[in-house]
Amino acid sequence: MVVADSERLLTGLLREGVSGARLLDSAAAATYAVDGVTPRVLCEPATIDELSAALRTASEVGAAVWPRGGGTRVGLGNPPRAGDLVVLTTRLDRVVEYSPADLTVTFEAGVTLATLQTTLGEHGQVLPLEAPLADRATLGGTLAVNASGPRRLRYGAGRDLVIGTRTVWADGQVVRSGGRVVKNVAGYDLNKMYVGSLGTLAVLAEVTLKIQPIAETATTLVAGFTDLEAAQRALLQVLRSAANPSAAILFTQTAAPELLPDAPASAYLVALLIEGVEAAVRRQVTEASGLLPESVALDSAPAGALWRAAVEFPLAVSPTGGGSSAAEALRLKVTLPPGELASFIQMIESAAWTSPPALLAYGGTGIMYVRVASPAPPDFDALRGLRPLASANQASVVVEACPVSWKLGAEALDVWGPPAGPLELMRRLKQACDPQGLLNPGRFVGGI
Amino acid sequence: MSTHSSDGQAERPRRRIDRAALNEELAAIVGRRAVLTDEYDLRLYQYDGSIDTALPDAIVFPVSTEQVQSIVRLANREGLPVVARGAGTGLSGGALAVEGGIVIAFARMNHILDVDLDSMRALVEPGVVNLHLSQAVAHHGVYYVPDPSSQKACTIGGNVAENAGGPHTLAYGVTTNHVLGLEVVLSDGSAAWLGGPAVDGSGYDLVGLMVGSEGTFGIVTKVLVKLTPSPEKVKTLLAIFATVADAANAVSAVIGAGIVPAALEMMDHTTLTAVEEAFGAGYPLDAGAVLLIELEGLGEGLEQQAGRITELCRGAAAREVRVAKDDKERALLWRGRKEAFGALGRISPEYYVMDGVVPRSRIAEVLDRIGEIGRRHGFLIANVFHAGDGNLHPVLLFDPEKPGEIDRVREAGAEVLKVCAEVGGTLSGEHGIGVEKKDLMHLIFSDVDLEAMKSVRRVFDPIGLCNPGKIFPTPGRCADIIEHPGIGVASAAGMGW
Repeated sequence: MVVADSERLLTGLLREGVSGARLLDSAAAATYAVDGVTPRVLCEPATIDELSAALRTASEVGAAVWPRGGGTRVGLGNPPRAGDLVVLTTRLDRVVEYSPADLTVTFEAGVTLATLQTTLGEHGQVLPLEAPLADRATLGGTLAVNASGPRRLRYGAGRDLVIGTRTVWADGQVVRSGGRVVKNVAGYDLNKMYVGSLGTLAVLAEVTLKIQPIAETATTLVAGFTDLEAAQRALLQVLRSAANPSAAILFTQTAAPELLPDAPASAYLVALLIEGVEAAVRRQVTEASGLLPESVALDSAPAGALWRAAVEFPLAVSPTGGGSSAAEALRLKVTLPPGELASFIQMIESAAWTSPPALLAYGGTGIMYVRVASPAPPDFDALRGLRPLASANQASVVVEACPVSWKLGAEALDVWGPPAGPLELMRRLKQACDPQGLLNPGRFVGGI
Repeated sequence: MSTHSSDGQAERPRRRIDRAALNEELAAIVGRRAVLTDEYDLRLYQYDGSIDTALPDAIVFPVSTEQVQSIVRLANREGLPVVARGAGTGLSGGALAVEGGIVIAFARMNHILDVDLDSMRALVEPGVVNLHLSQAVAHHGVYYVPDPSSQKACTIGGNVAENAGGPHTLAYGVTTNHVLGLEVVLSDGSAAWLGGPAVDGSGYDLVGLMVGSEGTFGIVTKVLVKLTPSPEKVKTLLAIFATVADAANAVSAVIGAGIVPAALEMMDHTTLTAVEEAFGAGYPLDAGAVLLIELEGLGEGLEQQAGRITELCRGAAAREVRVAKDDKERALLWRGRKEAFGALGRISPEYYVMDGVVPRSRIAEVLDRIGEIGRRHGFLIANVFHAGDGNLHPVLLFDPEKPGEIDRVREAGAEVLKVCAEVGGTLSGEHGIGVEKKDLMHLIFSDVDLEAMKSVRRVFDPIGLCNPGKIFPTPGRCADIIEHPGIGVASAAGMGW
């Protein structure tokens, strides 16, 4: 966008009373840059009306808009095709409605997950939605990138927890979908399209969610395996049994230092989180221990640390990373049929990486996070080789972070992989919601 | 002439359908025996479980996705709507061909194609009966969670269209939380896979958009569902109250205490009486209301939970809390609940099952207002519903022979839904909007909201071929569909072609 239009954009935002509207000097612009693309203007709407005005103004000027919450996941997706206006959502952080007796809550989308949980915690309740860097990650951002954690096994993820939204579309219109009640089939479920859409269809402004009571008690069991097949078998058995864990993870020894410093030296480790009322948990733990005879129950401190670290894993840096920063790691999110876990882990471990990857998998859900420290060109090739193997097994490999150069140029990496549905339908959906292509242009699947 | 239908699409010009020619063309696709175009047969399929009717131009029974594609291409070419039909148990008019066209019935596409126990997935054709799926996998210790009351008859495809619920979805989620992939045929005849056995596929959640779209986005030809381990034990309690208000307060107390039972159903006195007359399920005839509460899980935890629920119910003035002592008693209690509508059908010539949702904390108040609406219009309204998630099913008992009765029924229904909307609820928890409630959508959505939905619909079905006349309000209420007495084209009153 040329400077003159930046001025027009800013004038428009100021005239509409959008809070915090300002030109970014080069230092500030660098803070908000994504993959080498630098925005010029920023605003911080304080209300939904201001957010609506901001987008309307941007659409009148044809400005490319980057919605931004805590900025924890800005590296996701393809490099932006353009970026003129950063819309910071963090001032939209109010509780709109909270009815503990109804187990539902409505928050503005710019609230951080941590603040949200603190509010719910005062009533003994929790939103079972986990994401890294919760003191910065916003509700809207978490949903837009469809982040989730190991408790997803039992409680679901964004698509299962959201029951209502108010969003602002690219032309500034405020659209409501769903409602405030846990059962609702009135009208199309547009909530589903916003989750995981990377802010390319609309900006989440208000979200109504199902919440849970905080579990009365919890126990964590850990078991080590030398054999991957044995680990998978045990995991599958536990998941079909009465143990009914809230979370069931499998991680490699390379991930152990950050998850469980005193872990057994086994190549593969399984950890189970069993939550609920005391009597049931005792029985569930007995059930699980029977299936994992070598398992050990953790004390509450290391247990808490393990699950916190599991949530942080997708963005964490290897403790022994030796100078590599988070930005330099190669981070993959692999999704697969849950029964294929072992063969997938094998596939990944046998790829020719420059260093052994740290790997954390969610059993039962079928998600794996893989991290390769200090990625180099051979890792690029290894990744390229992995894709066809993944597709052949109905899995997908999404590159959540990599060196920016890998995303640029003629040989650019396809970070998203094949879409889970006809790209043509997805393009049409984008066209219907954002005909000018102003929201996060170019960053989504197929360059949407 | 071309006017705009309720979907915002320019209406296809309706022409006289040559039924014989249509029959020939469809027979060429599915075989002669799989096409119905005789007047008698068309009349059989003008019904579903709702109180509306509409005559289609043909009914076909395909056996494959390819056949469905050919049917849709033909329909597209001829400008005929297509309406998918499972078992026709829907309560909002979803399977009714309100603008005529071809009903694609899935009775013959009723196979379970694959069960993958390691990944806990099953691939089924849309005509598979809901309960049959759970029964087929039961011996593996797994089941398919969403259990609508009509599950002995309703099909998975229909469940997908309406995002069906059921008593056990309180704890485990509704259809959309258990569907991972769909094969669909779109209005241009193309077939596509959405989603798959892995979660979080790249791109937009087209599966999530499609579930609950009431057949207006395309025709579903395969469904990939999640299976869930069967619970070890089940404990069923019956809590007995003197009044509906007390029972409603107990519901609030249980949910508010953070207990989410597997099912939490309420039945009022009128319902109890009808059920006892029909089945002798063991319900107390002198109670104002009962709560049927189901707990699932491990034996030990169940005892603890049952104890707490009993305390909470007594705190809400429960007269008695009984525990079903064996499977037989449990099955009978549930039979009473699941066949309650049928039981009410024995005491009234007709009944109208409503479906609205309110926040759980407002149940008592809303039930009061519903009672008042019934009294004012001269109807008895029975209540049997999913109290645990605030999903009300007021059942309005009426006699269609009385002059003006149907209009009064609709008025009363609309008033009930207005109350639901007023207290922050919604128009439908599981039956869908269909024909039944499309003119009430303005109670909860603005024009902007509705236009946004229509624009998403056009992404999937730009020409509005799939199940037109559903969900969205009719402009000016000018399109009350009437069935025609003889062979010809279904017409819309006031549209004058």
